Amino acid sequence: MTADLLTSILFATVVAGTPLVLVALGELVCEKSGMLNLGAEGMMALGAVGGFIATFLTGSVWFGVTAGMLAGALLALIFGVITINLMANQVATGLAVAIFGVGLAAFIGKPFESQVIPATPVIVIPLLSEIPILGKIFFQQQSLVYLTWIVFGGLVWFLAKTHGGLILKAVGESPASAHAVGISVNGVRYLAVLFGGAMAGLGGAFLSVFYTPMWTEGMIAGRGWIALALVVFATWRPWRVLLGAYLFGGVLISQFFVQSSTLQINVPAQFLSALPYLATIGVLVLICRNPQMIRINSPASLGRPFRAD
Amino acid sequence: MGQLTDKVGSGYGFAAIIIAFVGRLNPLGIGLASLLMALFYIGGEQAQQYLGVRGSISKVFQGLLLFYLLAVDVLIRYRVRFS
Repeated sequence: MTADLLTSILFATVVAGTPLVLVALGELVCEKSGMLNLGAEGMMALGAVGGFIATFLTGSVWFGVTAGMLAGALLALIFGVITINLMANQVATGLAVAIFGVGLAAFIGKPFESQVIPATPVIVIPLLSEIPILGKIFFQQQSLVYLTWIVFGGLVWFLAKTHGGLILKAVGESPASAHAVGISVNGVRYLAVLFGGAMAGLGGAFLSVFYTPMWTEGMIAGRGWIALALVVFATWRPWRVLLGAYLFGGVLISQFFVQSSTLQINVPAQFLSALPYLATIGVLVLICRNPQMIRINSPASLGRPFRAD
Repeated sequence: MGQLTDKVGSGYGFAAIIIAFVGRLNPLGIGLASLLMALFYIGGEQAQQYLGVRGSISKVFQGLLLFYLLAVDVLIRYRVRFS
């Protein structure tokens, strides 16, 4: 009985943390190149609406996922043009992306608000899913959850072991040096920004197509902002991003289990819904209580425009 | 409004950031910019009421305003030269 409950809590934790992992990993790559895109919330919202509408119209989840990624990347492209080519303030532009994206998503998505699409079934991996407890958590998930792990593994490998990862980090640390050795700083930054946008769109599409197969205004509910905070508190390390995202997902999910359980707990529901934010901040602050950590690990040129001359 | 709902002040904080930038980070400018933003809000409500346009359009315009403002800043800092 308790094992069953634990399994379902952990299962739901992984599902709830997945969009955060996707968005935060995209933002991590973006920030590694020195671009601070605060528009994750807007790109997620647009990705969610794009993904939902495409899935609704074509009936294919993969069309939806692609549309969501494209929508997120398109918004990131606007960010890229304004911050890379026109060298505007990245913080302000990012906020404009967030406001614009959320507004545009609400505007486009209004006619689709009462529509539903069929839920995507989970993919059961034979044999491995038979493992008690762990089997249900890791091997009976929706396809996009597996894809998230593949992307995560690929990204860890890319950042740590490849020439491309080195170039990305060089551009973020010292664009002038990278430029001097012949790397196209703006090209790398464009790729990183577009990747970040596509991942945010993918995270949004996961919410509207896989997690709750419907679109409502405000369904992103601040997840984009949480993902941004996760990247900073995780000191730009993929493993900590993964951990933080699942931690947030876990606390988010346990409040529903607490509310629906037979235990008589006299805590206001509003406090419970604030708890995930408190817990995430608390734990991540503990992880990086040494302020030096953030300073050393943050890409040195984060938020600074680069002009080759 | 005379009432308390969990929707009170939604989006006002973000609008204030736009106002700070549109007002060119200048106290007097911010006063004028906030009037402009008030026009956006009221215009959005009116458009919703009389034209049936969705209310979220005012957010789209807020975002666009900041996009355009930031994009043309480059013309203040650099001069276009034809050579």
